[in-house]
Amino acid sequence: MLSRVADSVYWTGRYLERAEHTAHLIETNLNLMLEASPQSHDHRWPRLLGACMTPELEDLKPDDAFSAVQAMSLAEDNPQSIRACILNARENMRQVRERIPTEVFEQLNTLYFKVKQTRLESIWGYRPDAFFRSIRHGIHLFHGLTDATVPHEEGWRFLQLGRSLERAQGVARLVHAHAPMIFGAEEDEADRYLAWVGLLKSCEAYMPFLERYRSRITPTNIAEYMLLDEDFPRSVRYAVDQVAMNLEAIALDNGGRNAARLARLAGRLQSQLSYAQIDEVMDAGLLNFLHEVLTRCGEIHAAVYRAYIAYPVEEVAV
Amino acid sequence: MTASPTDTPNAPHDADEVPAPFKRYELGDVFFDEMFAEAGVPRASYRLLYDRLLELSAEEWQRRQESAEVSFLNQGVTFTVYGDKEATERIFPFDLLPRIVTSEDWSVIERGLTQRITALNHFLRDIYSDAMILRDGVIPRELVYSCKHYRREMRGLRVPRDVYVSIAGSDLVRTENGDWAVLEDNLRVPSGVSYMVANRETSKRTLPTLFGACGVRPVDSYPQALLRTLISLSPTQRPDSTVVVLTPGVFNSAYFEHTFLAREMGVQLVEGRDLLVHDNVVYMRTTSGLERVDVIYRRIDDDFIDPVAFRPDSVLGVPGLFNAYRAGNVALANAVGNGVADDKAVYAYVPRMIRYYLDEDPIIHNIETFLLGEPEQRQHVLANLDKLVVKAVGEAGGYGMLIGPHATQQQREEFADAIRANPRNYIAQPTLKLSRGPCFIDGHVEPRHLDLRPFVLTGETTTIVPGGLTRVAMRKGSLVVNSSQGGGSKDTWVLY
Repeated sequence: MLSRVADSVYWTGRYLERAEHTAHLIETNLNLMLEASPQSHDHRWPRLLGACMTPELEDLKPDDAFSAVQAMSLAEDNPQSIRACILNARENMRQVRERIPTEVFEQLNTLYFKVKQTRLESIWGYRPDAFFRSIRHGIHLFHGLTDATVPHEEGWRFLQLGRSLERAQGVARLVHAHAPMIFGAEEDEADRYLAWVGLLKSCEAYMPFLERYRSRITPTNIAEYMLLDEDFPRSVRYAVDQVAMNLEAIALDNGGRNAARLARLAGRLQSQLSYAQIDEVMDAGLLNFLHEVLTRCGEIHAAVYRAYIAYPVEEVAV
Repeated sequence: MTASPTDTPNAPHDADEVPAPFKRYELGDVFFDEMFAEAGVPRASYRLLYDRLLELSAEEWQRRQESAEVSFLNQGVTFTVYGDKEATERIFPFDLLPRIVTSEDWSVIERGLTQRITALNHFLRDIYSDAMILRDGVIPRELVYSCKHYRREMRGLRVPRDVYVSIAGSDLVRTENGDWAVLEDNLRVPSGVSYMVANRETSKRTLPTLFGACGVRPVDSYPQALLRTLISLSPTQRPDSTVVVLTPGVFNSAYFEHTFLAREMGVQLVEGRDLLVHDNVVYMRTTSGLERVDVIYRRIDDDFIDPVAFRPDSVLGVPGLFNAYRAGNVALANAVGNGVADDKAVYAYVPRMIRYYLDEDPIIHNIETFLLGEPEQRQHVLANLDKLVVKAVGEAGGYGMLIGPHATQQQREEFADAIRANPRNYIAQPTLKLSRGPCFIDGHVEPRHLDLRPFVLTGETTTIVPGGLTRVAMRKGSLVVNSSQGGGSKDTWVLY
């Protein structure tokens, strides 16, 4: 397929995952903040802004949830806001519109109008979380439709690739942002507990976590589950497994060149996550580990470009 | 209006009693009418349609009109209008009553256009090589060299099979006595062929019985004929030559047509950024590496195809493409520099070209045209602005046009000033007496003005798919059929 088309599809996957991740964070934290102590606000929103790569807001007052949520969700000047992500995803899908089923595009269009027409002021008064849930559900529906109606060949693989790589990075960044809170000592006990629950809930991990660890909510268990679990679809390891699997399928269609290098990079990260021991990770420093994961993900992204999208002419045997 | 129970085919009607659907059909005596030979007497080719119009109630026609519109939406034949609050999918206005062309008329059109495009191809080859026609004084030298679409870069460049115009869309009209005439030639990037095919799909769905009874020649082979034409131009003559459609992108108003043609031909739809030139060979960038491109059906104007050769600010084109073309490693359809042959002033000389190159009389005539660069003709035009249509030669789509009889005194004066300032830029023609055909409007059949754009493909052979795009001026009395000016379209039925 054309490199440009692969690029558009890949970014659609990335942008939608990013929007979904942010919507989930906001939805969860709007609920959690109702029960939190006043001082916990000091950290909550700056932490989330960091996790979503939103530029820091100057003079953000700790109890000003509105401004923080506005910046992350519907702000027109933040290129990482939900609004910007959905606009970009739609723009990318427009490039391949003639190749995808009408209802798939229409689903994305519906989301587009929803974020374009909604003002946070008008939903803030009553259950703003419902809006963020509807965004998430809209994205789930998009993925459900593509899964059910689009052939699972190269284009679909690039969509999954973008989605999984973005997820691995998003979750790693989120854990990173929560690390001081979870592992620090100075916090109020109840707030710390809420932060742990918040991290799990923002990734839909709370119930499956309890099932796996039988209510032993400890920092090490949380880190193990979010980073290394083999079966939980939002763990970093699971997302990286998906990345490797989709890259393998893409390489099968397209053969050698830079694909081998890309497979090595993905395989290396995959085995790092598969064989890591959580106590060793914690001893060596969780933040270091997360940094390394994020760096590897960045390298994979660059290698995808070099292998399939923006390869230099000299590297291609003509 | 409600159909009365007497609206049956057998209901008697004499001259005083016009059948209900035709109550608003004013025949007049100025324009040629496609349907009626005289009041109440349909031409033989329209007889079945006429009967059908009497047979079905206005409600039934209205229902079919609506179902035709839904059919366009479902086929995705739409253009998107972006408002601030919402983007809406619109369809181009479509009238479901077909325009019918007899096989005798079609044979004239076919021979006439083949002759005309052949001569225009000779003309382009000539002016970009020896320029014999200029040396022999058949066409004034300065008229050609002052044309803004003349491309010096094309001098001495041999194009595959000497075919410059591979895809032409000439606009035909019928004058008062029913003769066909060429209104203008589109030899650069003519559009509208997707509507020819989509209109046909729709009319088959909405008028199946009538369609079957009339005996209509098919048009759906167009994409395959286009692909054959393009492959025949491949400079490598590899059996698996790679053809692509080059589009400016999703924001172009004809983007639907670009996707349609690429899909129907089974070739890639590319943008400039998908292509690159290496050692004067064009490649497209795919996930499995670079793939050589042999033929480019480009839907981008000359100015924008290569920022190195033409406009440096173009981001739509491919740097180095023109060099690859010059080296003979890639074919472009249409060729670069064709605009000089569909220039509205050069148009006036096409009949002379036909005599010069082919030694034949033109089968289809031109509309009488005054060249404002010539002093006598200019005097005549300036004195008669209220009777004439003035057109800027470089404009398309119905822009830059003065329709004398309908213009205000002030508009006429503005045009007169513009003509004096730059006479080469304008031509004038008598007010067109475009023929009229039946359209279904608000529950009645009313006459509206139309033209016809058949599509002529030239490669190893010349192919004209029997049909074309009939454009209709949907506004009552309007003579402007362009879609940008309130025009619509209908299906064109060429009979066996």
